[in-house]
Amino acid sequence: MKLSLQKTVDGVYKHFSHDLGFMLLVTGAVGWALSSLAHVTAVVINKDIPKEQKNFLIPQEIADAFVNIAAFIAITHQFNKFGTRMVESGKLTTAPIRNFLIKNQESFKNLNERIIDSNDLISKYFKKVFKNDSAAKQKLEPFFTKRKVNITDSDVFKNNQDNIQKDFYSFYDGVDFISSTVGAIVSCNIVTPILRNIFGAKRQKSLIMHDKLHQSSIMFAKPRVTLESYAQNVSQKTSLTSPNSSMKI
Amino acid sequence: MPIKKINSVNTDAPSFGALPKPFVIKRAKTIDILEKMGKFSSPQQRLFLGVTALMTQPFIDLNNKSVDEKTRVVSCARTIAKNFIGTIVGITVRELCIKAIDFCTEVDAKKLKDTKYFKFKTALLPSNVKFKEVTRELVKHRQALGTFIALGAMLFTNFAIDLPLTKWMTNLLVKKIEKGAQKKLEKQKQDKLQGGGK
Repeated sequence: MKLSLQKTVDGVYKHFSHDLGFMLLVTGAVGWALSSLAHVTAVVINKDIPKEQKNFLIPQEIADAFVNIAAFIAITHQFNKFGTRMVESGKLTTAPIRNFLIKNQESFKNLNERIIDSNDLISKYFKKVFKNDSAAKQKLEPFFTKRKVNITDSDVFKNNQDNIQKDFYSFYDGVDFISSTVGAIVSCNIVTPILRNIFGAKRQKSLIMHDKLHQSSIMFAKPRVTLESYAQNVSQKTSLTSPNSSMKI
Repeated sequence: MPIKKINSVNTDAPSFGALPKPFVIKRAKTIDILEKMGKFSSPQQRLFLGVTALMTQPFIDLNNKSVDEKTRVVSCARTIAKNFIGTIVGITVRELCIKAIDFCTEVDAKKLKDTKYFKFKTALLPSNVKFKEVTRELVKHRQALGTFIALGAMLFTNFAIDLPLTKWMTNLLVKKIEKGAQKKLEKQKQDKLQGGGK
């Protein structure tokens, strides 16, 4: 038991501690799916909610999970990426960090000539596809790989001069928190409820239509002839009953 | 992070040599607030999300004109219940997970001197890396573990806590809203009758 726990911990450290973004995406998607499943169950087993409302609430809740995952990728992740990128590139900065950049501007000139974006999905995909074809890789590299300058990749930053790392990461974490929270508020609390309501309403309308059609088909359909009903029908037609006697021939 | 050198120089890339006009925050108070927010973690984020969800989602549901009024009311009640319960349970689970992980990834030598629960105190530390202090790497490891454990905890809390509480609160809110609407109707009728009598 202890061994498997240690293996799991080591696995988490090796595979996910350095790439939290991907892990958050996967666990977030699983989490939303689970949450949606629980809330769908809550609606299904709630006897106080009428069927007509359930026709809206169930598809609304299912849409909630799908829209949440899509909105996380399209909005929250992009907000977060934009915010942190601004800090990493020095476009959004504080006075102490800016002073550090001006003071060491010579050492940042070289950074311009590097490809640093190893976290970029396109870049990762590109590296995987052209792993063994170095000629194609060299030709296509400028089209597939984004060139991004990152303050943290400079040697002067790595050497922790003027205690800049503390200032930089405190600011970076603040922007990281704000950008992801604002992105999540926009996607989860504004975009998702609007889209899930549109989907839920459409589904409710089509289910009501389906129910009505089903009911009308029952009303106008010819009654099914069973052996029992046929026998009853025949006996009614062939029986000679008199109103005064119960005797049948 | 692997760094690869290329032969050509991209002139579009932001250059620190030329120092393009960046947005510089100079106010010490603003920097201080941002740095404090950087120390916030998932429980605080869940709180922000929960509060804003309660401020926006019920109104979006109430103004959903593509469904009838009864559906709007039930949908709004369920959204309030879901977000209220979800926020409380979410914050509690996250806080507990963080506390448990912090306890099980202890690196402070002073605290480790106390041999009580020593096995638990280092149970969630990676075996191949020795941490002597709380570094950025250790914080990231704690966050990664926290995300995993919170997901596992959610499996339990979603069905055992969120589900029954949301159901109970939805019914309570729907009944209250319907009672309020009925009282309003009765009052309007009475007012009309009184107005007609006069």
